[in-house]
Amino acid sequence: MGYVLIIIFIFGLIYVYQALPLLKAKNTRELIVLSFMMGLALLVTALLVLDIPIASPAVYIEAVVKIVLGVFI
Amino acid sequence: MNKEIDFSEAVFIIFGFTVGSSILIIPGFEAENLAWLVNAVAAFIGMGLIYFYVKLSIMNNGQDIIDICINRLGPIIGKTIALGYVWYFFHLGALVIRDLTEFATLVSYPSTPQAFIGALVMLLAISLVRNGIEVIAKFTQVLIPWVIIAVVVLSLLLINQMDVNNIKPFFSVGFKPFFKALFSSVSFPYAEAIVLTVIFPFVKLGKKDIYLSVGTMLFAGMILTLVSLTTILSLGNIAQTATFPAFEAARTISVFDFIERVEVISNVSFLIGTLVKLTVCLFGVCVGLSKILNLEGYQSLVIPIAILMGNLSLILYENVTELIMWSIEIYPYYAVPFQFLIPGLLFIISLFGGKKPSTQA
Repeated sequence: MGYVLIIIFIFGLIYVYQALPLLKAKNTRELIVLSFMMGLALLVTALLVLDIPIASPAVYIEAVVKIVLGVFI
Repeated sequence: MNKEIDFSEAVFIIFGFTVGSSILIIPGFEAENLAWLVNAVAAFIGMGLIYFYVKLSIMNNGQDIIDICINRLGPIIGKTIALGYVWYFFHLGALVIRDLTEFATLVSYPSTPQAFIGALVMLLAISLVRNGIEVIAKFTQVLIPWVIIAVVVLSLLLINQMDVNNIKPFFSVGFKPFFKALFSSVSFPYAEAIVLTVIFPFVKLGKKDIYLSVGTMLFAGMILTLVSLTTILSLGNIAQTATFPAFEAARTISVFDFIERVEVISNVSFLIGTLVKLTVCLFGVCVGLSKILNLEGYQSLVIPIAILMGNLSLILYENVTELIMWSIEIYPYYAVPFQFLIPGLLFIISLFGGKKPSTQA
């Protein structure tokens, strides 16, 4: 849990560093996108640090490719 | 959009991207001792592909694949397909990081976590992408010549280890494995050049530059063919089972028991090539996403996307064997729509008219 707090702190610093110029420029659209992306990055990193398993997209891609190949070839 | 670099600078990016991670993970070894021929034929197909991608961009006022999708297919379908491309660039970037971290932990830093190595490389890539295409171009201009020199020097040093019998019997594998290996080699790395279209809006692209790009692809193909040939000649059958064949070949170098342990040169070449490829992928994701979301700039996206890319590289595969099997068995088919089908469709639409593309890149 300590690692997660460190990550939240580092990500928070990065977020503030990037968000301040956007706030000054009143660039709301970019700020919303940045907030969402940073939140997602923090969530995924925290899950990885906490050893919570995340399904690999490669498995789904493999399944789709095999289905398509099975249908067409 | 300002045209920030000349095409003569962009050729270094094209070369670095193509040679990139393929310099150690040589494609085509499914065809056993014919891998060099597979690479040579794939290089010619790659020349055709880069011609096709540059031509597509020139036909659309020097736009990248994201802009072409949006302008030619309309905002809804176009942006959906463009989002698919952003995913493809993102996934490719994650694959490149994983290649690098697997290599580093296998051969150099067995006790260092892959996440740490990945984070260090991502820091460099973030710095390059945030500073813009000019810095990426200068970076490749300075470092790529060293990769070429390293390949040539290592090939020369391997001469006394080479045995011509290692490429015999010629064509013993048959046509089916040969064409399967060729398909795999074309999709990695030559057809991945579709990612390079993201730099075209930043490049002063003339009609004659199309031949310069073809020449660059030929040169990259020659380098990869040289690497695969020297690896087969010096390692023989071991090359087919090695995870990083070119590195294994470099390890065997011993000239008069004096020049030894020069595999570090191949490590550095791999690092440079991989970094260039990773940077272009990260740049492509950021630029692509900023265009889809109508953002003013892409800089604010660089750090979160780089973190997500690094995370994806960690969760994609359990181990290096799974990575290699996926890359050989699944990746070529998965990449077909992005590398051939959609660009082909866009080429036909561009050729026979349709909606006029916007001049704003």
